[in-house]
Amino acid sequence: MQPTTRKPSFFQTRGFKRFRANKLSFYAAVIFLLLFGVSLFADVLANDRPVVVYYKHHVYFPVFQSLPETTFGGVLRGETDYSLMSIRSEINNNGFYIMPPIHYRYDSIITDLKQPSPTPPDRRHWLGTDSSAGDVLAELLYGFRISVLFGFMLTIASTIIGVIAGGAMGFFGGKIDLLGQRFMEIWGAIPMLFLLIILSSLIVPNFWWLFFLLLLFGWMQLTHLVRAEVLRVRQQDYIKAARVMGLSSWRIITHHVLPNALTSVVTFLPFLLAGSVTTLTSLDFLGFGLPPGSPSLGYLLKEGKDNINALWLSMTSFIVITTQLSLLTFIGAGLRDALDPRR
Amino acid sequence: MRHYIFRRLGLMIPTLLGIMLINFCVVQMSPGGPVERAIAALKDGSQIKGGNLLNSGGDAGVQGVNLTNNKLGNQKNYTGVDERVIEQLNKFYGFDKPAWQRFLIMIKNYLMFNFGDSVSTGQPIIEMILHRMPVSLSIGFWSTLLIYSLSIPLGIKQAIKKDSRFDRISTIVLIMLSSLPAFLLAIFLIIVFAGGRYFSWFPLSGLVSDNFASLSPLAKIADYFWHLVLPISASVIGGFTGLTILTKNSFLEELAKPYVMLARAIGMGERHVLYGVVFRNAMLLLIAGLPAMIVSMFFTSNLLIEIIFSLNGLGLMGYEAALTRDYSVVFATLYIFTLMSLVLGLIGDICYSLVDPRINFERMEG
Repeated sequence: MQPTTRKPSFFQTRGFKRFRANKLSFYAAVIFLLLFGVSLFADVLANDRPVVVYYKHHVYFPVFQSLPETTFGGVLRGETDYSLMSIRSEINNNGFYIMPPIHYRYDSIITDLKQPSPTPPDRRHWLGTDSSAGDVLAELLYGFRISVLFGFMLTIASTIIGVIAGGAMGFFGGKIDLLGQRFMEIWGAIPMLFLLIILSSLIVPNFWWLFFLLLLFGWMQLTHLVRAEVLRVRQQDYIKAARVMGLSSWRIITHHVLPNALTSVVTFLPFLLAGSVTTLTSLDFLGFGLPPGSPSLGYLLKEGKDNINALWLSMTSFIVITTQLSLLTFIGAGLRDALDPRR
Repeated sequence: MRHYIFRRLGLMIPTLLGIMLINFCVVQMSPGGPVERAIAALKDGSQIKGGNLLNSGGDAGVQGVNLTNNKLGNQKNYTGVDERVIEQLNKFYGFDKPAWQRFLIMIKNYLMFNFGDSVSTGQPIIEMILHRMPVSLSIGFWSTLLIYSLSIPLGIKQAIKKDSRFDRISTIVLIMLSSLPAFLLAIFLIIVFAGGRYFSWFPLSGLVSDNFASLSPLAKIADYFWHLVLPISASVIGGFTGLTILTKNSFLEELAKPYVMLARAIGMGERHVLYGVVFRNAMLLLIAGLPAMIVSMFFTSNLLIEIIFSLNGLGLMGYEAALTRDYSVVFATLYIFTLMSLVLGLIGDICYSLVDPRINFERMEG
């Protein structure tokens, strides 16, 4: 640690340069960020409300604001139903509106299908519809977004817990380590799925419940890793030297142990994210994930399995999940190669 | 070594006790326990016979019965079941004793593998477990066998042809396959090979056909494997990347060692060097990893595969029991799982230190 030298920016670090040189992983990261970036705009891309309405010299953004029908000369106080012909022609007569490229949200129920749902892809529904008459593409966009966001949140939270718990167990060793190990053995033996099933009969699980429960079991993977790393680093001579020099435990941990142990944590993050996404998808598939009606890739996969002849359902969800997970794995593999100090 | 084994065995005791304690608490606290079930069954029976005796709020009453409290008498009007019957039920299931006594009894029973009867089927749970065990074991066994017989040759080939096009492409494919969870592959395989639309080559679910009993011995074996193809493929495809990479790395590591150079220097053929000298040393580590592999194959990846292919294994049994709130079955399964994974984990660690005496787990832990 030399406070006088300027820290190089992230893009100039050796790790980033080496990651950049690994074409496969670099493009996997670019594509993944692109897909995620697009899915962040799901509300603007797939919605049953217009993006912009210009009506009687006023500009409205119905995607982001809720407008009663009275705004457009209607009589109802409730939310405007933009699919009504009367509303559409009223707006067109006094201005214009721009619809998103996909005219449906994940929860829009399409009422004007020409045949019973699920319907195969056509010009209006590029990836067809599912059995509850929802647009598959819209469901995918929202489902991808929620799975990645959920995964990110879970990854961040379990990283924080994992680093603290694993760091403490590895650094202090002895009784703390022994007790921690036993606790994790017991905790790890409880299958999350069974607990979720039992709990779902007691409460109606929502997003935060599910997040909390998965976190309760998700932190251990990283804890094992951090503990092993810290145990390894702790034996090194420079730590002993730091101790002899009389540095406090806190300073040794934050300045000498953690920076060295964190490399493997960073490498592990994409795999942790992929794992979180997989868990969420499998729970959604079994029907114990996000509450019914939420957009989800696992639900789409279940639709595909239940309607085995509807290829557009099973294959779309399969391809999207496969792509998502393999991109993450490639990013992880690239990070591992880039940050591996032995190369 | 012996000291280490005893220490590890000793450390298993608190783990198992902890798991039992959690089991106990969940069974005590969650609704729909055995007594409530029996009451509900009684109530349904009397409803059929005696008409609408307890129509008013009957269901809510059953939900609200608190088994461990002495308030049962007050609840009589809600459940509509005679107080004495409830008392008998409580006694039958041991709920008349204080909690710590029940816990001790449970520990004693668990240690003797006496798990009692299943509430929903009435069978002894240990029989159910023994009955389902072969299914889980056969999936695990064949998957492990296939993974080893695929990974080792592939890993060796990758190590020999390091940095060739074959190495790079196969590594990419392997990484991609490893990113796919087994249940996703299972669904894919079902849709393509068993859905009835594309290739109906394999059965959709189950371990044997309906007419299994009438088949000749040879046809029985064929039928058994025919049913196993898809589930095993699903668990193998996602599982053999790790071992392949391990094989490759341990081969590369061995190849770089001086004794290999010596073997080459004294004029040993390349083939002999690879399979006579390097193979033995590189394999040791892989064989030592077998118990850990078995644990992960048997107990972690099987659940979803069993559910998707409706194979009557332990995983599916636990899942169904959890759905029907048959907690004693759930926790008996869990107990067996934990016990086995602890024992196999110990065997794995012992194997490692036998293979490579430099690995010393004791010193690591100190």
